[in-house]
Order: sequence, then C-alpha cells, then structure tokens
Amino acid sequence: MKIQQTLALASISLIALAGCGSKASTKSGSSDSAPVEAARLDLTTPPSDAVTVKVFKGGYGDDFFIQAGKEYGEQHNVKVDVEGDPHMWDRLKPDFLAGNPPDCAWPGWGMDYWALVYDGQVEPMDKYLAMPAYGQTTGTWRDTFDPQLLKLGQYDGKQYLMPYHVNLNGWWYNKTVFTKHGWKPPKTVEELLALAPKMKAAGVAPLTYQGKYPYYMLYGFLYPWVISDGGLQAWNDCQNLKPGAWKSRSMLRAAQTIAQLRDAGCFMGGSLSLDHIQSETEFLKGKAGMIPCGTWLYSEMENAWPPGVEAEFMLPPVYANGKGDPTALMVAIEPFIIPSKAKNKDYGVDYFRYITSKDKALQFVEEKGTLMAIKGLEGAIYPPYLQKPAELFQNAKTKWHSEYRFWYPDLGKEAEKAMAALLADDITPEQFCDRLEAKAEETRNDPKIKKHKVD
Amino acid sequence: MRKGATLRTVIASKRRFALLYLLPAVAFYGFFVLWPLVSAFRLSLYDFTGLSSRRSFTGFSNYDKLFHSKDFFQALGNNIWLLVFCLGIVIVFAMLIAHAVQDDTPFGKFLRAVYLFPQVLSLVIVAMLWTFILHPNLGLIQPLLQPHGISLPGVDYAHGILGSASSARPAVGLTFIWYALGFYVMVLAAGIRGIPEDVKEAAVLDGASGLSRFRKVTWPLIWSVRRIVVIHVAIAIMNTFAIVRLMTDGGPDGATEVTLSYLYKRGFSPDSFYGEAAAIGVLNFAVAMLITLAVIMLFRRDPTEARR
Repeated sequence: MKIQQTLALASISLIALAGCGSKASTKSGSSDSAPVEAARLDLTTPPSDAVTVKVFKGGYGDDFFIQAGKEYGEQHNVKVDVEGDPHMWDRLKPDFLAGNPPDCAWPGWGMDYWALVYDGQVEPMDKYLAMPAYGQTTGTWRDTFDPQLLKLGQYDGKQYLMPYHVNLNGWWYNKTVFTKHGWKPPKTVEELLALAPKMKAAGVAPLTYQGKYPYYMLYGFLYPWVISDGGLQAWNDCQNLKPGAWKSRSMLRAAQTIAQLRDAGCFMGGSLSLDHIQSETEFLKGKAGMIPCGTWLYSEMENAWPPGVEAEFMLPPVYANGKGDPTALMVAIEPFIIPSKAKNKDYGVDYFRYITSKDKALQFVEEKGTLMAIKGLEGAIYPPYLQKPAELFQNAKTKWHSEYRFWYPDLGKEAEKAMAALLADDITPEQFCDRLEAKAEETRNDPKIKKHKVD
Repeated sequence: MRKGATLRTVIASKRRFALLYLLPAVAFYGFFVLWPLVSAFRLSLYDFTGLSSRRSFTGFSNYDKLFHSKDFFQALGNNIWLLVFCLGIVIVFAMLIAHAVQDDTPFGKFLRAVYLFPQVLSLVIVAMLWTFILHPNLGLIQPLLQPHGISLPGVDYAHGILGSASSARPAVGLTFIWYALGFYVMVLAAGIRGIPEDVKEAAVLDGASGLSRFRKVTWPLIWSVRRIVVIHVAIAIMNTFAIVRLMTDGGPDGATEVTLSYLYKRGFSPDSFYGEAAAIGVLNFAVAMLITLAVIMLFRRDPTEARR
C-alpha cells in the first residue's frame, strides 16, 4: 500500500512556517476567507453520547490522540472515544453515508476530501478559527496556523480542511555510498549528469524510483524541474489549467530531462516494475545512489534499514540556468475535518483545538517527529534523519504543493500513466506534453468539474 | 365436480408445499444476489459519490462517459486479451496434465500430488510470490537470464518484466494460469474419468490409440466439461482484481488495468465516482454474461447426440 500509511517521522522539533517568505499559496474558489464572527462553543450542554474521534492509524499510531482524548475528557467531564484504524477512510465512508459521522476525523490519505466537501459533509471552520486558540483569551485560532498551509484546505472562500502535520517531498541520497566514493550530492541537473557516469562506473545506479506508483516520479522529477526552469508560475499555471501550460517550454524541458536521464542509463534497471518498498530497499542496499521520496522514508523503512547505512534528505537538483528558486520545496498535508453532521460538533471542534494547542502540538512533534502546520513551536530536538529536512524547510524561500491531483483526479491519473510511458520510452517528451495538455483541456472544458485556483 | 375440486386442492397444496421449501433459498438468493444486482444497476443511473445520501439521477450519462473513456476500453481490452491468452494456455496444459494424472505411473502419481498446490494458496500470496519471482534484481528470471544475454520475447530488462507494457500483461496472465490451472486439471480429469469404460474399451478394440483416440473419443465426450471450463475461465478473468492490484496496480501506462481494478480506482480509492463505478460493474457483468451465452451457444451441440 501507499507509503503515507507508514508515515512516522520520529521526534523532531518544529520550525515555524511563518516568516519563511514562501511564495506559494493556494486560493481555491473565490477570495480569501472573509472576516466572520467567532463561534461560541456550547460546552455546557453534555454531549448526546460520547464524543467520537476517528483517526488514521498510520506511522504516528493512535496513542497520542487517545491520550489527548482522556485528557480532554477529564478537563471537560465528558467521555471521549478515540478510535484508530490503518484504513480509516474506508471505515468512515459508510459513517458519512449513513449520516452518522464522528465529531472529529482524521481520515488519512485514502479519503477523497474534496468530494466530501462538495457533498456538504465537511463543516466550514471559519467561525471557529475566529475564536481564540485553546486555553487562550486573545488572538485567533487561525493565527496559530501557517496561513499557506491553511490555504490548501480552502474552497470558495471557506476553510474546510484543517492541516496538522506537514510532509516534505524531495530526494534522498545514500550518504554511506556517497562518502565511500567521495561523491557529493548534485545540486544541479548538470552536476547530476556529470556524476552519473562515475556512479555507474562504480557499479551504483545513480537513481531508482517507485515505478509502480508514478506520482513519486511526478513529485520528484517532473514538477521540481518545471519550477526550476520556469519558476513557480509555470507550475501554478499547470494546476490552474491555463491553456498551454502542460505543454509549455518548462514542461517540455522537464520531460526531456527525464528522457535524457533514462537514455543515459541513470535509472536502475527494472525500477519501473518496483513498488515503493522494493525500490527503497534497493536504494538502502546501495544499488542506487538516490531516490525521490518524502520525509517519511525513515519511518517507512525503519524495519528494513540496513545497519550502518546513512541516508540524507536533499532537494531535487535544479537547472543551473533555471528561473526558479533553487530552495523551492514541496509540502503536503493530511487534513483533519469536522463533519457537518457531527452530533457533538462543538466538542469535536474543541478536541481539535486542544490537540492544536501549543503544548499538545509540541508534544506531538517530540513524540512523533514531524513538522507541523502550527506556528511557534521552535526549540525541540530533531532526530538525525530529520535535521536536514528541517533545515531545508526553514531555508525554503518557495514552498509549493501539488493539489491538482486531488482536485482533478482524471488529470492526475493521466499524468501518472504518461509518466510511466515516458520512463518506459513508449512516448516522446513531446507526446507526453500533448497527452497532458489534452487532458487538461478536457478538464478545463468540463463544466461539471469544480475548479480551484492557485496564486 | 367434487373429484376435480379435490385434485385441484391437492395440486395447490403441493405447490404451496414446494414453494415453502423453495422460499428460504429463493429469499437468500434474491436478497444477496438479485437485489445487489438491481441496486448496482439503479446506482449506475445516478451521479453519486458514495459519501453522502446526496445523489442526482443522470440517466445513462455514466455509461455515456464510459463509452467515451479510453481508460475503460483499455481495461476491457486487457480483460479480453487475458481471456484469449489464458484460455488457450489453460485448455492445452490442463488437458495434458489431466491426461497425465490418469496414469498410475510415478510421474502421474507425482502430478496428482502437486497439481492443486497453487490453489491452496491465497491469491494475495500468489501475487506477492510472483512479484518476487519477476523482480529485476532478486527474482528467478531476469537475474538468471540477463547476465547470459538471454532475452525473452517482449521483455525489456531495462524496465523489468512487470515494468514493460509488452511483458507485464502476459506476466499477469501467466500468474493467473499458474494459480488456476490445477482447478481446471481437476475438472477435466474428472471428465475424462467419467467416460464410460465400455466406450474406452470399444475404442481400443477398434484400434484407436494415441492422438486419434483423444480426438475421436476423449475430446468429444468431455464436451460438457470443456464448456464449464471455458465459462469458468471467462468469469474468472472478468473477475480478476487482486493479482493486478498487487502486482502492477494496472500499470505501466494502463497496460495491465482490468475492468475491476479500474472500478476500484473510480469508486473507492482514490476517486469517489460511485455511480460510474456501478456502471463499470454492470458493464463487466454484461460482458461476462455475453461471453457465457456465446460459449453456451458455441458448445451447445452434444457431439454424441449429433452422431445419432
């Protein structure tokens, strides 16, 4: 199954997202959320039954949320039932369908969040975000979140999806292999192409990838190179379905670079047939020197990590002459939601307020090890494998995301299929761009598909 | 008058009695088979995510969308391709093995002992096992053949057996065959064993042996079993899901996508086009029914009857 399931970045302190000067932002539907009157939570009426919280039990487990439920229950003299499941999205679908959803939910990566939003199943959070944060009397809850990450959950001027932790996407290099041969991780595509023959001569494939799940190659190769060549706008144009964006010069150059690496034998043989565990195993065994993967690599491979092997996160190499920001970094969230038909909605909101309070968020950082969407948590200690991601996160002038895949599933699927075909040398870079542009046009012209906008 | 009334009463009472006995089975079948089929068809006429009770009737627009979907036809085409590929190989090999297991030779006994082994395994285990066998670095095929410069038709070692569009589909088909063959051997072997001894003896006395005995006696006499095998393979291929989901996830570039793996993606994860997924299910059912009917039509003549 997909990797997010096993996400468990061990302990790491928080880096405030604020003030990073990020250029990326998402504006879905209309404009930013208009000021709204703060909600008043009714926590004096006892809940109809226990307050129910359902969470994805992936790499982070469910113990943190269960413990938080106990604490919250004691503070408010209510019973809080927290339940975790590795396939929580599957468990939640019949609950939503039957009109019996929990009071607060973290469905996990398999949920089609936007379909839930369009179906009116997700409560807009704006009036709640206008309240003070948990345990505070001043300021707003909204101000405790990174605004750019909040924007990933907005549609039509309303906040629906709430960020909690943050995943970063990039590459990893096998530090043990690199150190042994005296290689340096390439910062530019040109350096990568120069290093590749040396790596091959030493019997190490420069790169492998998770061929069975082509979105890894889209996140790791294609999109970063589009941004490197044409700047963030070139990528945002693609997400905004701007005519011609998917066959722009930058898209073509990125696709050509992938074809160039393929033809130069930079990819480990057979990579296209491997899933994430198999390819990451080959990478850790030193068969390949680098792999595109998110910050969850360590937790995903913890049990199969060969002793003595070190791997470090790195940014995908950029074009030396590219217009884009060389510090650009891809971020992603796995949202929490408050179901609109929750029976004890106010308690559900308040439970989520509780776990996003500074103390609890800091505890999550230190116990589970991840970057968070909540600001002001600096000071905790990073585990070694997350020091580099945290540093890159702090230094990134541009943070970008790939949300179109969730907005427009058909386009996302076509991009994955075309990526596999390009890597298999079944289509040319030009055909790759044509396929995606055609699908983008089809999406753009389909009035039934609700449109989002990034700016 | 009175006699007639009594007879009618007896018949009516017998009918009631029969109906009473049939009722549990009919109710069970109706509730668990017919009702879901009707429900699926009904759902296929709606725009429905499966995430809320909100749904809107859209007539046949889900079908219209599928009839214009390259991905759907690619998946359906892969089903048909797998059906033809697997059916041919299954019939030939299952027939050969079914003959071999009739004999009491050591080889026949050995085959009898092992031919059902793959059936004992869960399909999930089979898919995992073959994923490893076909692994480019750790497997039993590519690492053994590639260093000696031995190539296999359609296989591009640079992308791996499951990574090349030309080899992934046959690989999925062969995995299915490896798993399912034992079952068809069992069915055909039972069919061969069911040929009356006197017919076999008569054939021997008439001098029929070897291939001619097979062609003139065995093959025609197991026509009903052959029909069952063909229908069963067709339904099994139209129901293929786990092997594809686990081995290739439909890739590369849709080369191994089948209708049910496509249905899963559209209806359950990652998409929520539940109405469209129901339409895929209905079409899959219709195609399976059409194939079954075609097979029944093609194989309907009993050759033993025809000869009279």
